[in-house]
Amino acid sequence: MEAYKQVYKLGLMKTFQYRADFYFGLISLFFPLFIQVFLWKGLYSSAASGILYGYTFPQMMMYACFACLLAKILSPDFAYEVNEDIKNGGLAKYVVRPVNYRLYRFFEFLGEKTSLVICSLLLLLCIYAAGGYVLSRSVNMLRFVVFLPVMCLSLMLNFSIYYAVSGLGFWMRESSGILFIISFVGNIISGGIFPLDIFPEPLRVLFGILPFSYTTYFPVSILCGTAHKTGIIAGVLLQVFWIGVCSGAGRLVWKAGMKNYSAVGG
Amino acid sequence: MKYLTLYGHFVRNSLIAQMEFKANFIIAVCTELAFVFAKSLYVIVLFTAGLSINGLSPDKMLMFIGSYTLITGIMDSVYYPNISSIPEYVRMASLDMYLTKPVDPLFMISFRKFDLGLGVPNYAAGIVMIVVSWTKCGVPVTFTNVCGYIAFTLLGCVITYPVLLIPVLVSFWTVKSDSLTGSIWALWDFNNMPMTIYNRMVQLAGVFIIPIFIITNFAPMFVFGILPVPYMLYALAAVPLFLGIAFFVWKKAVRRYSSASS
Repeated sequence: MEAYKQVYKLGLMKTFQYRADFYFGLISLFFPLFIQVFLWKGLYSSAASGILYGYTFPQMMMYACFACLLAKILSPDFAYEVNEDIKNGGLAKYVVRPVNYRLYRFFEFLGEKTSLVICSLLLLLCIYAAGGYVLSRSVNMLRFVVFLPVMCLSLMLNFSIYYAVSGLGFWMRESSGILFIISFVGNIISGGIFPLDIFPEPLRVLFGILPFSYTTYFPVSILCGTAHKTGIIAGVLLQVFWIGVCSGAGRLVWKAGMKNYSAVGG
Repeated sequence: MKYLTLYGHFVRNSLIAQMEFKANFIIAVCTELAFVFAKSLYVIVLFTAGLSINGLSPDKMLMFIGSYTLITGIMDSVYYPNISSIPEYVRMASLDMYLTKPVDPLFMISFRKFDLGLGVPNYAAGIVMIVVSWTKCGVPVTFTNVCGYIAFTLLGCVITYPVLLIPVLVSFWTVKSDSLTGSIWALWDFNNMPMTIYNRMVQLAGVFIIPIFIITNFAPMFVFGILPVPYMLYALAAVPLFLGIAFFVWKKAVRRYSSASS
């Protein structure tokens, strides 16, 4: 366990090494939000009922902010590193060490995300409090407390999904393009840009079946107050279910891939 | 004429290379399809909400999104593969190779590559959106409308060049200009919606300071009859103005360049 603790620390130090990049990354989050503010402002000014897709204007703005931050927290950058390790033979150096590669990457992933999670949680809390103020009702801190473990499950689910996907590198010479496409589309169908409620019914049902919606849409719905008690319980159970399925799939993919693997370079 | 022939050769060579690596071509098309899907989210929002914004109906806004998609395709095919490589040429000192060629180096680094795969999905989706919007809005297909639309689209394509080039040239001073270039790509996405949805200050900044809105908004505004005459005249003047600024910065940048290769 001591080895993984050190890996976690290494991941944490990595983010402090590129501080400018870290802050620019946070600032660049707000560009797409800027477009959404004007879009929703325009649409809500024309909506007589003041409600669109079941959201009021402040709720929609809260959704946009939370989804944007959560999508940043969940971004699966580690999958590209795993892919590079497979392609360039770097995986060989982990194979001969007494470490589990999956756990190694998981702890490094957690380390890299820690500072971002702390900054984002502070921002989320501010937006949540401000949003509650605009909505003219007391801030329901219980929702925020429920959100925290759900966000941890989201992180685990996202890691499981993209760790399994990164195994494509065993069979494809260049799979970073496919990884980018899956993560980009995955972000859209997880509700990382707009709430899934904007999609027509059949698509919404389809996206609801897939694991992606439990990484962003579900946790953000808890904060926005659009998810209710039974929905939250069902959502958590489905998160756990998908973590199990994706981890299992990842193990199978990697087991098959390692049989094929031949280290070149490194 | 010499440069046109040369550009023809550049395009042909790029296409041959892309056809040789078919998997890369298919991945480029799929990547752009994902981006088109992201752009279509705005279309979904507009049409499922079915509401007008500042007097523009969803049908009309579709032409703005279509124009943006089409010009993004042109930008992706013509400018992006070249302009995004410039900081790398400076960092790795591979600019030396272009400076010693008997052709204008700016032309060489700006137009040597052409990526068809990145453009195709945008061309297809953009043209479909423009045609659907044109038909649904009942815009008459007159000589003036068609020529005006094409002229302002071409003008937008030309203005795209200095808008993308100037921030990238900063790399001659800073070596790395990733964050600045990233901001320009982010600003580019502002055209995902018509400029009329933004407030007056943002509109003025996007037309006169960083002319990002001229690129994709003026053509649809012209056919809908909402493009003010001063804006039309300004668009014509903006082409030489911003190209002039870009050439001036390029000259300064090249003087600053010192080969640093091993």
